[in-house]
Amino acid sequence: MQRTPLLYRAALVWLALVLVATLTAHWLPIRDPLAQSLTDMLAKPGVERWFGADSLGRDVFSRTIHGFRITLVVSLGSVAFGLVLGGLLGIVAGYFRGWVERGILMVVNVLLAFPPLVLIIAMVAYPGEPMIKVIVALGIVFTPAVVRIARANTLRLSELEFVTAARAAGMGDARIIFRELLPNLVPALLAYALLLVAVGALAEAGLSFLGLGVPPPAPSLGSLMASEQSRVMDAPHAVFFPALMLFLTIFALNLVGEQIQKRIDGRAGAA
Amino acid sequence: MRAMRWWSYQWASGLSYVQPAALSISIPLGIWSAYRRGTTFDHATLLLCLAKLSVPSFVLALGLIYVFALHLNWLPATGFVALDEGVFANLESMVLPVVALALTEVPVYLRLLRSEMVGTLQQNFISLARGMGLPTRKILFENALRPSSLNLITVVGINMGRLMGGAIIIETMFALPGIGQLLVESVYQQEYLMTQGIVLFVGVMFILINLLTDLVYALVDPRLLRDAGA
Amino acid sequence: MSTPLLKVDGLQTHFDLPRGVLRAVDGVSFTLEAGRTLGIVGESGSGKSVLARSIIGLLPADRTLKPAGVVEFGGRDLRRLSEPQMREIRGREIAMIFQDPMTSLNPVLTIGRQIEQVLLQHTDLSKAAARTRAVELLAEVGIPDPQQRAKEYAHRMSGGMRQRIVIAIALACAPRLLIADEPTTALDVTVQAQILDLLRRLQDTHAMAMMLITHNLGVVAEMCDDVAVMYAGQIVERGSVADVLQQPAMRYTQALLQSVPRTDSPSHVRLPVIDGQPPNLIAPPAGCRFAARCAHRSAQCDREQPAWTSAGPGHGYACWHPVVHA
Repeated sequence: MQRTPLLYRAALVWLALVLVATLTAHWLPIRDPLAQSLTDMLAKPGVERWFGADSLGRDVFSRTIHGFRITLVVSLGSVAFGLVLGGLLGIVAGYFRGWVERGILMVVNVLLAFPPLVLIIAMVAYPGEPMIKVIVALGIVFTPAVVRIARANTLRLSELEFVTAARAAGMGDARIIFRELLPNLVPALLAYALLLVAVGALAEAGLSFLGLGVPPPAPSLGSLMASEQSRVMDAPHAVFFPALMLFLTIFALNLVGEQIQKRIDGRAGAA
Repeated sequence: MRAMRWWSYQWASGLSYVQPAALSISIPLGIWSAYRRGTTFDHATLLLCLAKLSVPSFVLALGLIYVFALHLNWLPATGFVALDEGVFANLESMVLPVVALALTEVPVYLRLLRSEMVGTLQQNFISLARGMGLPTRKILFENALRPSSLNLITVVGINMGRLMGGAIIIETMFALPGIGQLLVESVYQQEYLMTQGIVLFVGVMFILINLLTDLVYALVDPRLLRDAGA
Repeated sequence: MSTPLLKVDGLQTHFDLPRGVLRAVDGVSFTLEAGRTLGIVGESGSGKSVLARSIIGLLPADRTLKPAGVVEFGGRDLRRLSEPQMREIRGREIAMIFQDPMTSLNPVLTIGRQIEQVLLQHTDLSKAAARTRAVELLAEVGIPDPQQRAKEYAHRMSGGMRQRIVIAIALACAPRLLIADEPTTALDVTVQAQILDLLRRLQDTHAMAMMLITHNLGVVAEMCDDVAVMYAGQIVERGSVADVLQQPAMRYTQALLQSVPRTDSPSHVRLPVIDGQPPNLIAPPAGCRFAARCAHRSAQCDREQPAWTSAGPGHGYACWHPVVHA
C-alpha cells in the first residue's frame, strides 16, 4: 500500500504536464505539425527533433502534442455528453420510477445490445462535422453505463431521509432533483467519469486509426500511427513514440481514476 | 450468404483459441494474487493488468507484429491460412492475433477471479480445510476455485458472444477475413441485408453461448441445479 | 505425573497492525492431559479464538508476530515446526472446528468428498476405502441414511446436521486433540444439547482430549473437566470446573458467574452486569487488566500485574484481592 502514493503522484504530475502542453500547444516553441520537409523524411530522433520525423518529414513530437488536443477534446466532450445525458436519464429513472423508469431502461438496454462499432459507424457515415459526430457517437455509447450508475445511486439516496424531508417541506420534484440529489451524485459520477475519459481516449485512437475519426491532415494520434505503420521497420519512432505517450497518459488516467474510486467507495461504505 | 458462413467458420476456428489462452494466463495468476494478497507479486500483477488496459489494441497488435514477425521473424505478420490448407500454417497465422485478443481479456478475468477468490479464501470452510492439514495447492484449486468462478464464467460467456461479432481492429491489422470487417463493410456499402444477417447470426450465437454458460454454471456450482426432489 | 498431551507456556501472539501491535494473546500457560476436556471461557475479544488458532497455527502469516511462548505437543514445540510439518499434524493429531456450521462446509463439494479429502491426505487408504470410511464416519456422528447423504451437497442441510458433518470431518483421522471454537453457539438450544452429547460420546470412544472454547458457562459446567478463564489476552484463573465455578477466586470470574441468569433467582431483579469495556490491547494497562471494571480495585491493582497464586491443588488465579470463601 505504500508504493501506491508514489505512482499516483507521478501519474498526476504526468497528467498535469500533458494537459498544460496540450492547452498551450500553439504557443509552444515546437514545429508546425503540418509542415512537411523533404530533407528530414523519417529522421531519427535526436536533439533537433525529439521524436524524429515521419514519412513526410513532419515533426513527430509536435504532431503528438497536437494530436493530444484532439484526444482531449473528443474524450472530454464525449464523457461530458454521456454524463449529462446519462446522468439526467438515470436520475429521472431512479426518482420517478414507474413507467418512466421502465421506458428509460428499455431504451438503455437496446443501446447496450448494439455492437458499439456498428452504432459508431452508422453515425459517422452521416454527413456532418467529423469531430462532433465522433463526440456524439461516443457519448451515446457511454450513456447506458452512466444511466445505470446514476439510477442506482439515486435509488439509494431516495431511501434516505433527506429526500422525504424535502418532499414534506413542499419542494417540487425539479428542485429536489437539482438541489438535493444531483450534488450527492457528483462524487460517484466523477470517479467513473475519469475512467470513462481513459476509455474515450482509447476509443478515439482506435477510431482514427481505422479512419473513422477526425480526418487527416489533422494530427489525431490514431491516424498518426496509421499512416506510419507500413514503415514501422524503417522508422519505428514514428509509430512508437506517439504510442508510448498515449499509453502513459491513459495509464495515468486509469491509475488516478482507480484511486479516486477507491476513496469514494471507502467513504460510501463508511457512510 | 454463403460467403459469410464460410468466413465465419474460418474465423470461429481461431476464436476458439482465444478464451482458453486468456484463461490459462488469468486463472493461475488470479489465484496466486488472491492467495498472496497485498504482497509485491499481487501489486505488480494488478499494475500490469492496469497497464495492459491502457494500451490500445492496435498498438498491442503493432507491437507484437514488430517484435515477433518483423524483427525476430518467428511468425507471419499478416494473412490467414485456412484449416484445410494446413493445420500448422493455420496455427502459425493465428498465434499473434489470438495472443492480442487473449491479452485484452486477461486483465478483466484476472481481477474478477482475484476479487472473488479473496472473498472465498476468508470463508470458514477454507479455514476448516487448512485446519485439517490439506496442502495449499489442493485448497486453492480444488476447494476455492470453483465457488469463486461464477462471475468469471458469466463474463467469459459474454465475451465469447461479443467476439462472435468480430474484432475489427485485430482483423484489419492481421488481414484476417473476419466478421468484424464484413459487418463494417456492409454498413458502409449500405448492404443492409448483409448487416441484418450478421446481427442475426451474432444474436443466435449469443443465445447458444448463453445456454452453454448455464450448463457450465450447473456443473460448477451444484447449488444452481434445480433439484427434482425435496 | 505423566507428560501432558498439550503444554502451553507463556504463549504470546501479537498482530502487527497499522495502528500498532495488538497483543491478542499475552502470556498464556496451561496444560491439558490426554482424554480430558479443558474449557476456555471469556467474553468476545478476550483472545480465546486467537489462542486456539495459535496452537494449531492458523494465523495470518503476514501480520502475526510470535514473540515468545512454547506450545508443546507430543514432545515437540509446535511453534518451531515448519509449515509442512504442521500440515502433517493438522487433521491427523490436532483438529479444529469452528463456530458457524452454515459456512463451514464447501458448497460445491459433496459431503463425502470433503471427508474423503482428509482421509486421502493423512492415511494410505485407497479411494474406495476412503469412500466407505466416510460413510462410516457419517453414521458415527448420527447422520441418517449416510450412504445417500455422502453424495449430497451441504446446502440443503440444517445447522445441526452440518455441524455433525463438520465433526465427522474433524474426527476422520482420530486426532488426539480436538479444538472446538464455540461449536454450539450458532445452534438452537435443543440442537446444542445433541451436539454436546455427540462430542462427549465421541470423546469417550476415541479417547480424545478436547479444548472447548465458549462464553457459555453452562456448557463448561456440563462438558469440561477443567476450565481456564481468559480476559484481555491472559488467563486469570484456572482449575477444575468444580473449583473455579463453585469457589472462584479472581474477581472477574466471580463477576462472570454472577451475571449468568439463574432460574432460582427472584424475578424482576436486575441482572448484575459488569460495567465498562475490555482494555485496548494495543496499549494494555500496566497493572491488572480487569482493574478498571473491578469493584475491589486498589492502587496496587493499577500498578502491578497480579502474580499467579495457588488457591489449592490444581487451582490458580491472578488477583490482588481474591474472593475469600469460608
